[in-house]
Amino acid sequence: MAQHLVLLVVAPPLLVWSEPLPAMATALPRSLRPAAGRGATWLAGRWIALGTVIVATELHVGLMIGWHAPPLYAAAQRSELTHAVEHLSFLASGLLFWSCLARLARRGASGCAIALGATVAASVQSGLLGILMTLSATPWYDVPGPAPFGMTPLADQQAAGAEMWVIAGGVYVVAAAVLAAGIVRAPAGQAPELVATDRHEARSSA
Amino acid sequence: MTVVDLEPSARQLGELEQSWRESVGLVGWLTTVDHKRIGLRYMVTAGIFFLLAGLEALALRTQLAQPGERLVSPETYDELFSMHGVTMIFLFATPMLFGFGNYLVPLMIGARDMAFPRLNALTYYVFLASGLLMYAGLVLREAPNDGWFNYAPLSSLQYSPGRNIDYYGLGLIFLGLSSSAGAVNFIVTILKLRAPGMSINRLPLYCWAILATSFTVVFAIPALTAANLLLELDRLYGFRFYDTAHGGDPVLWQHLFWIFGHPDVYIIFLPAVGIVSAIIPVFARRPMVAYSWVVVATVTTAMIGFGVWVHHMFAVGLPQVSMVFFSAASMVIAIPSGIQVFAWIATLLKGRPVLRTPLLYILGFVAVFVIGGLTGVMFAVVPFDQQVTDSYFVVAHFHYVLFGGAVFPIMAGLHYWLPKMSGRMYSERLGQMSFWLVFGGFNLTFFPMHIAGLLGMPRRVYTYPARMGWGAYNLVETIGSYVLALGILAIVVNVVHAWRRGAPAGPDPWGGETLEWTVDSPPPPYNFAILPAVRSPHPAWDASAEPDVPRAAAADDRVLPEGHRTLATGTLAGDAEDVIAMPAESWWPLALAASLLLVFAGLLVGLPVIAVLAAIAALGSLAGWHARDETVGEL
Repeated sequence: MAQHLVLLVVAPPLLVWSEPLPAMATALPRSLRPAAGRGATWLAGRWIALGTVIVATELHVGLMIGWHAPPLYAAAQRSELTHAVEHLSFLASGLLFWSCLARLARRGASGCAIALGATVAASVQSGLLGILMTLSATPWYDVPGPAPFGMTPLADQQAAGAEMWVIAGGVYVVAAAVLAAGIVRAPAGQAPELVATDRHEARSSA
Repeated sequence: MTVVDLEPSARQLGELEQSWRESVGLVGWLTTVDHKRIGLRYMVTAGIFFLLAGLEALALRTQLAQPGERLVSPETYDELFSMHGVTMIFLFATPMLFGFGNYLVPLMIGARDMAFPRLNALTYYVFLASGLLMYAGLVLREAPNDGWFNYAPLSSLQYSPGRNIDYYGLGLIFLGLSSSAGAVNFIVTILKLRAPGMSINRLPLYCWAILATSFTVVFAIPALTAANLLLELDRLYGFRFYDTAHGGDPVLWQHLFWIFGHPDVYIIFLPAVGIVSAIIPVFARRPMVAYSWVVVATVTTAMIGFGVWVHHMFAVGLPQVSMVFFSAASMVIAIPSGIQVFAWIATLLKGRPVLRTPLLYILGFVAVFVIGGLTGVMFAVVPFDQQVTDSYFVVAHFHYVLFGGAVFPIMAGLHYWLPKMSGRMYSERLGQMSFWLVFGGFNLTFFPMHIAGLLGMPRRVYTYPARMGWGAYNLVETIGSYVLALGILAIVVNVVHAWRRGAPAGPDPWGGETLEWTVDSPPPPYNFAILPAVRSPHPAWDASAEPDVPRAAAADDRVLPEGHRTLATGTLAGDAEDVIAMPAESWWPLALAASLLLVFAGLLVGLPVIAVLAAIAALGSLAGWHARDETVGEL
């Protein structure tokens, strides 16, 4: 579970925050760099539709919840390839979600507000999985070998659920705090643009 | 930019009077949609419930004054402490703070009414009706008697025969309608009806608190409603949700209840804190320190409030390994609370505080709340929690948090806004005296409970034997509760006297910061003759900083004199977007609330026929409500 958390809520936000694309671009062959640069600029300049945010959020939490369905979880344990696909999809959807947030956060108060909504939605849904794992009275997965620290499989699952609930929840709360700060710290509006007659009155009486 | 003070013409004022006039007498009283009248009504009704719950508490304290007392029977004691808790939490704290919000939010943001004025009338009537429904139980001697959190399986039909618990279950489902609708109304009002120029980062902190609270209400109330719905299905129709013998689980009640119950602490605390953030800058004579930090703290408090309900259940036998995480999570809430406390203290230190009654109550709040917060952090430590759970230590803790965190700010707000609401001033002498009585009485009542709890006195016992050695503490507590009651009485006398023959207060007795102080006291039905334009977070201070600005006649599109209209603005930026027509007075909210009351009363007395007929009447009222309304002008 700790590994999943790293892939879902630790690595992607840090990767997005560090803005590695320019540095990575220098690793490309010289001939490809301008094209990559144009592509990245085009991507960053695009307005993010509300639909994109919703899809990114639901992919992020949907994959998180989906891979924990017992049959898929068992499949990932049987095959190294499936396991790799699971982790890759966690990382990719995490990157998509957190980069959406990062791009929205640069778009003033309204972008931050949409991103805040997405963060709250993600925290509620991922929290649900954590809650169910923590409070379930039966182990869901048939894990081979002894659980770490001498825990029973059930206790192992409960600890995993609590990590997911509290630690992932904590990351979302921090993100929400940053975004809320983005809303209130956005430059204050201009002097109010009222109706045309008002400005006219102001000028004529001054 | 040249600043110009606009003034309305006599014609515009006349037209405003005409379009915002409501019927007089009883008809006007029953059909009004004016947020100020509804807000006052909320506050008076909640105040009466507060006094009733206070009398219940006095009876409890008198019974506990000495060991072996026989003033009330154990059965009556159960009903009294349950009704005391239910009333204080559900019928006093939230409605009182909603009442303040109703009165103040439109005035603070420069709007003419709430976004949905008829819905507003409905939420009041539903609150009143559900309160009457629950108190009918006390009159008929079958009031709820399983405590305010009403744990299953004690509340199941098997262990609680009789209707007592049904008053609780049905009453709270009913009340939930009011809270949820009220919260939606606040959200839309704050996001869409702000004065032009009031971008979201110029929103008064009080309105931020109401906004965060309202989102919390929208997400928390469904859990309470679900819990009670399952309970009533069990009790009335033989379902088995909480019955282990048939595969149900009583712990489900606890989860659902506390998923609501912990956020509810913040539903009560956040608006009270909003009052504190509204009052401190005015009496410190400077803007609030760290506005944006306080906003972020408010938002994160509301969010964290949803993640930590498990700490109410440390003693239930949940998985051991998970407790350490919840324990840590519960401590985290001290961070945003701490940010706010330090912001208030810094504002007071950097300002030139004027010590009047409202500020006294705020200082009392800070002291009491910090003590309650400290014992709260102690509870986050699992072994300590398991040691003192269900003892008087808990009773002491949550009274410090809730009385300290909500009642003190409410009393501060009452004294602060009384001149605005009544147009008259209270007696400062009596006000300060009432504070010292309340503060002293409160600490005398509740501090010894910490000690009694550590000595092992369990909560909810109707008496105790002398050999336990708790007698002295309980006697002090009872004396304290009478001092506290005397303080509350002094407040009531002060308010009633001020309302009837206090000295005229004028529009702005305090040098207020927010827009409500720029209009008359009490404000006219349309609130603002000229819809205000906002240029900073302190609009009222901007106006007084420029005393001698030239005056010009206001154009009609700043006054909107005809046809009951107000301005709609952008959600975040606060630019003027649209002119909207507001609905006028109506009988439908009352009709809908009355039919809903009959639905719940029918279910309660076991006559589904009445419930079905009343439900049809409710649908009819809804249809009538949404029928085309000729009083709303075309645009």
